Amino acid sequence: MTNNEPNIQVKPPSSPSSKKKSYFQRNKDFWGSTQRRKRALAGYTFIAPAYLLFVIFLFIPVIWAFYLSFTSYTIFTPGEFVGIGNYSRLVNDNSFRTALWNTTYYALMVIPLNISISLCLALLVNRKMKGMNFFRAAYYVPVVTSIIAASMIWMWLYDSNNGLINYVLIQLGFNPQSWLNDPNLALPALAFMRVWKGVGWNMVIFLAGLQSIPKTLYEAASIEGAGGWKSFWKITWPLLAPTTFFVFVMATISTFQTFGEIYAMTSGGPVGSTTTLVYLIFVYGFERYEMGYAAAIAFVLFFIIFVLTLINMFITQKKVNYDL
Amino acid sequence: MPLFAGKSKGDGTVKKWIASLLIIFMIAVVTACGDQNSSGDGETELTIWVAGNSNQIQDTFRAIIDDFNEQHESEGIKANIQFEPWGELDQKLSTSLAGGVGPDVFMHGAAAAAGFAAGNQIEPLNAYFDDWADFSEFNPGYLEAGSVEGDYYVIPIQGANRMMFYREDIFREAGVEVPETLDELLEISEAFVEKDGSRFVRAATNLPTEGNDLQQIWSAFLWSNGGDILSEDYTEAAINSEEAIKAIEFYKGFFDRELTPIAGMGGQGDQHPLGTGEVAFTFDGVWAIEQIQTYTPDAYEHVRVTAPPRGLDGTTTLVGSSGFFMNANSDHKDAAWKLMSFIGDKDNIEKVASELKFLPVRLDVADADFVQEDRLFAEFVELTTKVNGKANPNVPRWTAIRDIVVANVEKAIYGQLTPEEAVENAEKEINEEINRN
Repeated sequence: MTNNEPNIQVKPPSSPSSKKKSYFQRNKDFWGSTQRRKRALAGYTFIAPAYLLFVIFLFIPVIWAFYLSFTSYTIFTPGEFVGIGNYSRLVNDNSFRTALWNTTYYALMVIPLNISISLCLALLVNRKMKGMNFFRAAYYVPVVTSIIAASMIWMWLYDSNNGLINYVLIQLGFNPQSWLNDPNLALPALAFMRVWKGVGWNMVIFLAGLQSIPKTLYEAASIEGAGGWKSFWKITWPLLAPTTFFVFVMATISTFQTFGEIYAMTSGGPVGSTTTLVYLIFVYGFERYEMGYAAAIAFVLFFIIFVLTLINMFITQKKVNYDL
Repeated sequence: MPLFAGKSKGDGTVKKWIASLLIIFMIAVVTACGDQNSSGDGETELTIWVAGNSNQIQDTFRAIIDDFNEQHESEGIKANIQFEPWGELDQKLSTSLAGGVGPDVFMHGAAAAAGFAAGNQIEPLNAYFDDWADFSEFNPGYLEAGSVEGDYYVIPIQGANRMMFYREDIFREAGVEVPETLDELLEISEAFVEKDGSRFVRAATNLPTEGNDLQQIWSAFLWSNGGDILSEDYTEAAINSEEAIKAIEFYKGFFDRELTPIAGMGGQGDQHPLGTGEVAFTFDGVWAIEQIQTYTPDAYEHVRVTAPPRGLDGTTTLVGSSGFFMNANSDHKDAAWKLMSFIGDKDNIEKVASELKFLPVRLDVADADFVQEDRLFAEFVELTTKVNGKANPNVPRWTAIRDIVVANVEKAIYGQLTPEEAVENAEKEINEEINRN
């Protein structure tokens, strides 16, 4: 640098974050105040029962189950430490491979259908029309119906000899099907029921997401000449990304955990075609009492859901780019 | 005003009150979660679980327990009864026993004895039986079904044998009689089938394609052919045999020849398919009688019961039973035995058998008046004394072995495996299961 050159000192841009105190400093400041300490204590006291229940009935059992997945625990016997024995047994277990494929196939059918139908329903009921509340409630009814009651109804509908669905098919000139007794049809039949049961919940979430999108954006798009289809792809879909992410994660978790309808309707059959991972955990854990092995399957399932959630979080975060 | 804000004198009193109430509440909860078997005044409280939760079962067993409580009031023994549906019994029982809060006495299928005994969850009853005069009155087959390595564990309450029920009017219409062999039964079955397009109006029979029922019915055909699932000493699989292949071919024949739908002909609601005339014959237990009587009484006179036709080696039917077990970890074993022996006495077994149509488990009840009053019941009871019977093997890993048998027979029924492949596969998997540490 020479003397002829202007002495320019570049200051970093002033921003609120640069003045922000560190976490530890803020923490120290907070606990330094007697009044704040008292208020915090009150807060912690209020949440203590919930946290206590969480720790006792969820956190500790999960950690304990993880330990059990390395043992041969069988409910009545403490079992021995078997290292990764249970996990290596999974690799050669045909029933596990079948259940893994069934779960994946089931999720591939349910999740896209569930999300697309619930989004369509949310778009339909997101209008100001007379009687719209009735439709919103009607679509939500399956969500609050007991899974066992719903399963009984769908078993009658799917009954191959006297069921309503086959009756309609016969009237229309089609062949009746063994919905729950055909290994190729049983899982799709359960998936269809699952979609019926689950769209109402996701519809409500999407509806909340749709109603949080500012109307001004649609007005501006309309003035610029954008049609409904273009508005959907350029405004609704991108701005719904956080909602879609949430719905996707929740739908993935709940779909991978499906159990009730399988227990009630097919017991994992025919020929294991509806045995999902959670049902397999039930079979090993509560029918054969091989709790250690069942715990190992549970942790594989946890790992799958965890990875799927991470991937989805990574993809979706890149798409959410409207800062409103 | 916020609960924890402010320092007025009144607030302090309120806080003390709330704290005192919370402490009292917590003490009350902890006390309530403590020893529930002692009422504090020297009374012994027993818990008994009965499998099944129909109104009839509840009425009958409640009356027996009330009677027991009345008779043992002076001794300070009181039994509390709980009814558990069969479908949920295993899960609830295993978790409660493992958690140390299981019932003192519980009802279960006798075939579960080996599994519970291996986990030291049930008490051997030999010492109690030694001094019990009623012991010799029980059908030895049912006592054996609940024994493991020479130790008795169960007081039987209900026999669950299976026989062949059929509609004599449908057989007559079809111009056929109950044949002598299983192969002939398959041949004549076409005469019963009525269809409307591809829909079954009437099928020859109703055969299960999954679960316990499949194993129980198919095993009877296997045994009738002279085959078995396990070797005599239960140390290896014996299922890979010509007899097992024949049994699968016979069973599968009903589906392949479209004599019965693979989805089953389960009747309408609570009605039995024999009662509705949707099938010509079934392989059922004694429970079918009450179902037909209650829900389709008009059909009762047309229903007959007989021994199933012969296989390659005669006829063998399944001998199943359920009964009461004593929790090995019970704190009140002597009182529990008093309860068990009370239920097992002649009057109560007769009450249970007559009111619930349970197959009598005591020899001195088998020819009681109530048995003879019901034609089908009397015929069924007589058949159990004549037809060769066999129980499922009482081995600790039976549930897993049963699942293997069911899965492979099911695959053969659905054509995913040939009968030869199915028995080969089952043999391999059963041996792996037996040899698993």
